[in-house]
Amino acid sequence: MTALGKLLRTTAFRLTLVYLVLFALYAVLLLGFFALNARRLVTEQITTTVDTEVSGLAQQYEQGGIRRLVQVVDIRSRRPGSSLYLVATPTGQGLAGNVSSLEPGTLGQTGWVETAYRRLDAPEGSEHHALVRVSELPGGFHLLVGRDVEERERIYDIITTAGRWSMAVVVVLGLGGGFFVSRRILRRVDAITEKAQTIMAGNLSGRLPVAGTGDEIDRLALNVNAMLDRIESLMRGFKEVSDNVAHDLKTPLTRLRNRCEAALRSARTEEEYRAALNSTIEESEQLIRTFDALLMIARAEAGEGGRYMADFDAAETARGIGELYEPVAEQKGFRFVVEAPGPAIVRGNRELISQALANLVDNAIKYAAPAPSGADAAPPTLQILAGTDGDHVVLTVVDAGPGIPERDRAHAVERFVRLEQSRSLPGSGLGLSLVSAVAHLHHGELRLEDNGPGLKATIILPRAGPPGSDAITSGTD
Amino acid sequence: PQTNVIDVHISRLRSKIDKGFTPPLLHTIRGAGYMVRDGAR
Repeated sequence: MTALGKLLRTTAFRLTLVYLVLFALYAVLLLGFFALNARRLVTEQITTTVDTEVSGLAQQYEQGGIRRLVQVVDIRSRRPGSSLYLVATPTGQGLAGNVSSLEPGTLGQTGWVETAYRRLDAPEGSEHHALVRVSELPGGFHLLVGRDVEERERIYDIITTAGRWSMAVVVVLGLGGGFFVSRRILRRVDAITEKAQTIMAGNLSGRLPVAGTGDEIDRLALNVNAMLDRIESLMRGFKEVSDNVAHDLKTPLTRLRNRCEAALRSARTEEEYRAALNSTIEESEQLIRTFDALLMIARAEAGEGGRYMADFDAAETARGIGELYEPVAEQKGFRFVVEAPGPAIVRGNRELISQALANLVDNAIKYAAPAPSGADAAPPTLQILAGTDGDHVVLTVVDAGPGIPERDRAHAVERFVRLEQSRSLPGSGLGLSLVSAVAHLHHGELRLEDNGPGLKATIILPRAGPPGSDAITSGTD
Repeated sequence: PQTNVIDVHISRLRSKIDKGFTPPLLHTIRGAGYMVRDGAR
């Protein structure tokens, strides 16, 4: 497509064109109306003047006959700037007046006639046009009174000429303006298109140019840029996850293979083979658990858990988790407290939420466990709290362990992220990712706070169902 | 769950029903789960 063709195809240019045509049409109508009205007004003035003169002259004729009329007409036609007068015999011979020639047959008609004429005082001059009224007087005489219409035509001409010129100016300016506006817009659209192409070609960090005028193109560009930001962060997340998955799954797989190799090489007895097989099974189970966690996160993030949404009491779930974890927690030396009076009705996937809560308790047990030596020290508290707070259901797990430094909190929920202190402990780095994904799936959030010392992990979910007890459960029993 | 929640439950249960008795009733079936079975048969 040529540059001009492109320009002519722009919306801006087409709109300009449509607007121009409409405007021109409107201007033509307006000017035409104006011109016709001006003409009519002048005609009216002429006829009024002529009518007055005719009635005056007719009066003179009534009073003094043809002689008197001839006298009066003679005087009047000598005045400068006078009207046209002609008194003629029934045969058409002029008796008085200032008309030297007329279009033949003019005198034969009566009433208003437009005719060409020559004046007596300018017999060699060109013919002029006049609007005349011919009346037949009693006795067969003709009386003609009229006025030149040249002035009227001149006004008409001026208006129509002005109209034509202004039309030309309007069209030229309109087209010029259309070109200008279209080219401006086209330039910006071209810039955006060009940038979009480089982005499509793989440079995801590119952004559309924003002129800063805040107009519709800017708004569009800003929105597309926001979209690109989102896509870029998703892509980066995706890449990170696949990198991490590859790395984190490769290590146990390699270990597994090495163990099998070692068994083949060195095992002698059935017992030794059995032990090797058992350890491979353990290793694979760990792998399967990691895959399960990944799949669960993926499903929660894709919103698939939404298919199994139902209203249920999260406090009851919290009590269940408490029951499940109580023996382990006590064995590890915690003072275990569950406060979940309920009801705390939530609309969601019970299994996912219960898994999320379990992950938090699991983390607390894993990372906040007291050193096994101190039986004399007071056991640290591990609390599970469930309750409502206004429009929210709040599930909290509080420990008194090392906590998470503030700068690491946002980082901690990412997949496969294992903070420095926890590298030595078993785990996949997926626990908090799942909690966060589940919270987001339910339009809630995971909040990690300092418990000074320790970590306070809170799942905040929108509350569903009938209003129950509004008191948030808190405190340390 | 990552931690051995079930193991702890089972060990508690075992300590309640099997402690001091032979043969044990509560058996661990590797890869499948647990089973209550009369150990004599």
